[in-house]
Amino acid sequence: MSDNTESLLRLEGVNLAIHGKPILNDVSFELKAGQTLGIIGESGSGKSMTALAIMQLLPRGSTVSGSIHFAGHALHELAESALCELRGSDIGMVFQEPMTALNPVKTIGDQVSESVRLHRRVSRREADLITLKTLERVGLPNEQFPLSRYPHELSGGQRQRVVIAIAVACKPRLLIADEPTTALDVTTQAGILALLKELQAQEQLGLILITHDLAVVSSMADDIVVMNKGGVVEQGELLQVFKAPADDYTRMLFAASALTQVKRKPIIRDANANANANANANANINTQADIVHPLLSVSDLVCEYVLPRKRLFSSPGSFRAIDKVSFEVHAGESMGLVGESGCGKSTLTRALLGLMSLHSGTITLAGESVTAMRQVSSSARQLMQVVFQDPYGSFNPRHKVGRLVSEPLHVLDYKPGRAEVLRRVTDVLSSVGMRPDDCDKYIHEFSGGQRQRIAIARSLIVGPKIVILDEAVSALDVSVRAQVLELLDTLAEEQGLAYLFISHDLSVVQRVTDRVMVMRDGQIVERGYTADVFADPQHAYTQALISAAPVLNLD
Amino acid sequence: MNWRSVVPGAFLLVVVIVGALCSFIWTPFDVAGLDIRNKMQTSSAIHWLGTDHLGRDILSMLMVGARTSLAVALVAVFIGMGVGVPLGLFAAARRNSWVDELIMRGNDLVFAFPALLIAIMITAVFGPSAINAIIAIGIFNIPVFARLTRGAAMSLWTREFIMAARVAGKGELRISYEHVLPNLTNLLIVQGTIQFSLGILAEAGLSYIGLGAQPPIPSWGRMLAESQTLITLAPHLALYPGLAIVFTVLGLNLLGDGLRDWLDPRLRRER
Amino acid sequence: MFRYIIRRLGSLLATLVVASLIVFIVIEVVPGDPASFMLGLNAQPDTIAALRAELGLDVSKVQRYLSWVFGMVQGDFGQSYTYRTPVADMVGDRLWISLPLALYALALSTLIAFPAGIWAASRRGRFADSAVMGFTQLGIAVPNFWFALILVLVFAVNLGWFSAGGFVSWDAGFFASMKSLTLPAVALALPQAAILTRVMRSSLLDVMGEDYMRTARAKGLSERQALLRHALRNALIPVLTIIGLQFSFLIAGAIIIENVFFLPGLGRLIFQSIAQRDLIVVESVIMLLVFAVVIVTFLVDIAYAWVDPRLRHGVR
Repeated sequence: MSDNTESLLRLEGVNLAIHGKPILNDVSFELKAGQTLGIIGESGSGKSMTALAIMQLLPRGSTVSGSIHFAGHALHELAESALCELRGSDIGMVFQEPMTALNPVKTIGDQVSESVRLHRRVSRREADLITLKTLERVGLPNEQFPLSRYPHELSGGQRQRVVIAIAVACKPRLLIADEPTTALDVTTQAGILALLKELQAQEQLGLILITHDLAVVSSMADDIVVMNKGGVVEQGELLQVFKAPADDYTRMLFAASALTQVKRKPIIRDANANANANANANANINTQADIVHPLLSVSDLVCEYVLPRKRLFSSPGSFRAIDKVSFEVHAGESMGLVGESGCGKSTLTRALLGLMSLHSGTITLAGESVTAMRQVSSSARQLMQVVFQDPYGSFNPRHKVGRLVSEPLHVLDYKPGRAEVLRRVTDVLSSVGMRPDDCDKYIHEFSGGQRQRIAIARSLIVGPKIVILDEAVSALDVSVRAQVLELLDTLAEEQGLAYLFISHDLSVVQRVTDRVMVMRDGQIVERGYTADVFADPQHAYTQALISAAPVLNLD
Repeated sequence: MNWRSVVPGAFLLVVVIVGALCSFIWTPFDVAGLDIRNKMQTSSAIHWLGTDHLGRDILSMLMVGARTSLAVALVAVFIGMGVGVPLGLFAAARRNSWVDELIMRGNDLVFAFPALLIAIMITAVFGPSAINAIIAIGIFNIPVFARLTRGAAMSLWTREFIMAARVAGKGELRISYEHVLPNLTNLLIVQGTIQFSLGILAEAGLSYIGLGAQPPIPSWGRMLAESQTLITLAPHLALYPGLAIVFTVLGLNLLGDGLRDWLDPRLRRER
Repeated sequence: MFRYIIRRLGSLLATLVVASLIVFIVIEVVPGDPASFMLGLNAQPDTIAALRAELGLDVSKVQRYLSWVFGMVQGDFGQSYTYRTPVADMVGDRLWISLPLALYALALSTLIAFPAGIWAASRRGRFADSAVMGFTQLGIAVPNFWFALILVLVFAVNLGWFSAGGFVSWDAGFFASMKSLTLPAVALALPQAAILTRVMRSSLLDVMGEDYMRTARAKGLSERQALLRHALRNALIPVLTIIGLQFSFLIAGAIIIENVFFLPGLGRLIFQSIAQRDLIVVESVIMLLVFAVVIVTFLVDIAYAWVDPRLRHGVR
């Protein structure tokens, strides 16, 4: 069938429509045996559908044309039963969401050995042996991870290893990994990527790595395919495409992905806020109040969650999510807070916003104490506002934009008239680059990037001095992210805003902040000027974080 | 909207409602008028659906009976919503507090009493009546709405738009009313039609065993009870009231299904 | 797991205690003096006094409640006022009709609903699915006692396969008794089966949209294998909830259906007792039914833990 013996997988002119809506348009590419092909694209580019088309696991109502050849099989013509034999034995697949990709009511041993027993004529014992070996190979040794474990007993990274074990248990020739590390922390991501690379080399796997992250692809792939709006815009050898992108879209994508630190003028005048010298910073604030007026000052903050009782009559235990955290943010400053999931950064956001009660410690905003929700004065609320991560979940879908944006006006001491509300809403919408007449639309009429602009508008309407950006750009595509980051720069400059920029993404934090704090297990393990911390991390954890983060590096 | 289910559903329901409303002004015959000479007739030009064992016109009785059925079930839904929804909202706003615990345990308790047992208890003490049927079915509806509301409200409370409202300094009650409740209306409308149709069935059952509306108020359930001893002589006496119940419940369920498809944005987005 | 069971047992006990309080208050405290209520308006003062003494109403309400509850725990439900026999004996006989009837109906409804729901889900959008859904739509709308009348008309009056009513005692043999319970059980089960089929189907369809179903398909399982091996057990969780709720509907339904078929079960007993103002019997039967419902809820909770390992480990 194929004149090129090296070709493992070849797509030719694949078109896909779901319920008549075109999804893929003339997609063609080729993967050679034992090589890695990176497919990059933003959300809606059709990269995941391409993977499902190869697996022939498309949703109902799909119509496909074009040809897909895999190792001598014409996948697009094969009967379902023949496809079932190929899936899991010759082609394995790894998905984005490890938390939901495993059946919660079956043990990990069952789920891996099922794949073995399905494709190999082996006894249960032999299948269990193969399962044990496979789990060892993906880094889950039997002593710590017996086959009888259930998925909920494992962390996200460990679950992703189980999913990989399912995919490679029958030694496939092709492995498709669809955003395998997007839902994981940086350090975990590094481990999974290393594992994929190792498996690929050892087994001479053909690997398709689908991702939105150019940095990930640059460290893994031999060839890349760039997709946009359901079509392939550019493909070729990795270095060639990276060094000399031919297509406009590719160039834009690369430009938006390559975040370099913007030179900001140093704002900190306080000697105590010097890098890594903070232990006695708080003590001096009161005495030097005339010199330094920190806008937001947090000292010895402790937040705890009550845990369910261990035994029937034992007293409930507690979990310390924030453990003696102190810092301050000055007017006009951009402060970063980096940490992996579970480090306490979202608890900190909630505590700062007065959405949860503090165990001990103080939060002072412009000289006024902020302790718990009910006590937060409206003047304090005016000073500090927030932008959340999820551009879809952060708006009531039943209200129009005008009402959504004007909601924080509730904190004003007086009730503004309709004309004033309208004036403020249109002002603030135009300041974030939206049109004034957008206020009569519902939120579902806007894209993710536009929604995040509206969220920023909402946070600015009461004229705050500091905005907490809680993973505010993490859900956005790189091209949109670049625009939103630019908007944040402009706003900071125009309105003298201070930011507390909370993120798991090192490259973004490096791009937008003046100072940065690194958080782990509820404690701040390192802090200092952003440039210094990234250039010369002192704490072992910071070093691990920075070295684990994939870098867009082609030299 | 799923027209294949809404249109027939709405049609059946409109027929029943029009019949019920019409009976306030006009019925073919007086439902209290006994006419022993013309008892147990089958369908004819005069008595479209025939007459019962006392010579009363069945169509007229069905029309008046529809009134009872609809009224009892509808008021019971309002009782369930009126008490259950605020309880659920409150439990969600103060989740994991003792208030929440108390409300949910109370709910469990009512769940342990099927509507019929509540009706039996009320009847044992106060005697049977349509009001008792309403109260029994209404009490039964309360935990249904309370649980539904609490569950849905709890998941809304974790959403970021609620956090945004809290950052705007709004209180729990105001957020419940302004942000949570409007996002529950679809769910409540759909559950309302389900409980409405269950209420029709429950009312029929209660009046069948004599715990519902008392004579001389006609009700579908009692018509069936009276037909039972005559079932070999005049099966049509059992047929028509039964069909009336089936059509009403079917109409409500079809309408509810159609509404759910239409109102559920998750389903709508896929179209 | 052990902790989970203990916790469920605790809430079961609490529910029973509060339920008994409510029953006691509604039946014995609200009507005022039970003795004069039971004897009616025309009773002589000395007859009332005699009954008060006989029923032990002279003591305080708290004492009465406690002796009632502790009596029940020991199996002593008191004396029927009308029949002057121990309530426990009267209830005992009838329980062996009502309980088997409800369980029979539950078994039938489950046996119909599981295959029908799975079949409809696996043929989603095709004719079989629409047909099953149409039938369930009808099944939900039919009141069970009317369906019972029709069954009598068809299978007893016209075909003569079953008797139109009455119960053949268990002494006459298991199958004879079960036969006399068959029409009532079918009448009870079919509407419930319709509901359960719909829940089974929609629960399966929900689960089939989960990520792990895609993992299962990527492993090489066919759609059908994935459904049976991975979707079914996960889909059982909401289905179990409904089965638990249905038992309380079936208990209530049994009370009504017993009237259609002249079965001498708890339902008939309770209506007789209401008519005769025999409050002690009413009280005891209600408590017994509540107890049955609560026990079934407990069993369903245990079944959850069997299905879902996360519950066993106390994660959710």
